Amino acid sequence: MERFIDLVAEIFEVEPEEVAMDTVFREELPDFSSLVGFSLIVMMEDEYGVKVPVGEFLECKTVGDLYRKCVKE
Amino acid sequence: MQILNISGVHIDGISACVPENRIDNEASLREIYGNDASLIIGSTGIKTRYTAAPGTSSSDLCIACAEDILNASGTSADEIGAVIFVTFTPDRLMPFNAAIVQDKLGLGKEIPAFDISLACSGYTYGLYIASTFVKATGKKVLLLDGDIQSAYMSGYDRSTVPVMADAGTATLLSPCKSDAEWKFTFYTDGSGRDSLMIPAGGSAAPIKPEDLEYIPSDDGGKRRNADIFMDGFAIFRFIASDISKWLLNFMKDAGVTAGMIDSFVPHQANMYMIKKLSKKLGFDWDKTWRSGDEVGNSASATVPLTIAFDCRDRLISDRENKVLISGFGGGLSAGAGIITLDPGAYYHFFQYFGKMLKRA
Repeated sequence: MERFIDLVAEIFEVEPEEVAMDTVFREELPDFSSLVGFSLIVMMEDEYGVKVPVGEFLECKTVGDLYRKCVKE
Repeated sequence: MQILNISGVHIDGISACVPENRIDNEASLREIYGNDASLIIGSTGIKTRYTAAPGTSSSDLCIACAEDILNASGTSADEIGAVIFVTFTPDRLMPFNAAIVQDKLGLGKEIPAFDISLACSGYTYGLYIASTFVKATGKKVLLLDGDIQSAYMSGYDRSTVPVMADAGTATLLSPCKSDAEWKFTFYTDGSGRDSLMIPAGGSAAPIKPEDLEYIPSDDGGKRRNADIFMDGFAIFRFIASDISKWLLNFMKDAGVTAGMIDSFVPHQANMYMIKKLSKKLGFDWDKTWRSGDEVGNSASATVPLTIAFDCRDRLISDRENKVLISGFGGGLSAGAGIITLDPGAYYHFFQYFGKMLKRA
């Protein structure tokens, strides 16, 4: 879980302490854009081997929602 | 990994130009994105783009650059041993652009002159092939690289409009006694060929009247079959995942680290993507040369254009600079080279007003 937080923090260019499982990443982390969203999807695929379709990604609200995609499958 | 080495070649100069129309990207994107336009600019980092005036062709831009570089270097037409033109938007499907260049520049008739059709990966291919002709002929070689992408763009496409632009470049290469070895490598994944394409207009689907009608896209935009289609996420994934790993392997197999390379000149896909890529490769952002924020993404011409545009403050002045160049995009295709740039060579960036001047 810590590693996932670190990877998300790196994508948003913030400190890991600023990211938690209940963080609503589109609203609570800075400068979210479609390219940041692409970065999250590619990270999940590269690091966890999970291909998340864009439609499913759009349903994710929190960092925890993304994390559960990675550990569930 | 297959690495191709070549030595004894020198870049005498690079000249690059943008065409007549300067586009304020935020104003232009407001038409298709409304109030989200500034978010798109914030995301891609591309503030300004340039597109050609009607009638200005890829050969017009590149010939202007070639004339500039031949004049500046005092090179006469009979010193040129070959001319190679990298473009996927030639003036016409037939004949090829290099024939136009040979005639308009008055180059010798007994020289190899041909086009290379690639998209964003093209300059590295062109530079390697031009280098082999320098070695084979023992003469100077002119490498032109430019595209008029706007001729194949829907003004309502939400993927292409924010980033794509037009430009022309010319690179003059000559034989030299230096034993500095350039290293090149190339990558192709044709399974992704539909990710960046022009659906109509080739021999598989000659243009029909209905190909010029706008069709709504899933993302709210619209485009014609005769326009460039880009699956933004597929291209993003290609660069962020496949190409970043491939470039790291290239550097490892070539025996270099980011610390051993003076500068990184990537294709200017968009500023977000090249910033992430340079970080993955271990380059400081200051060592990554940029032009895309000011002139947009002009396909394979971005690499030589960025060298001409951004070299002034970034070239180390007292020695040859070791530079990693890389282009990546449609195909899917990529090329990379570790080359040397001479701080004393001729580098020039300008805006082309040729057609406007002729009209005036």
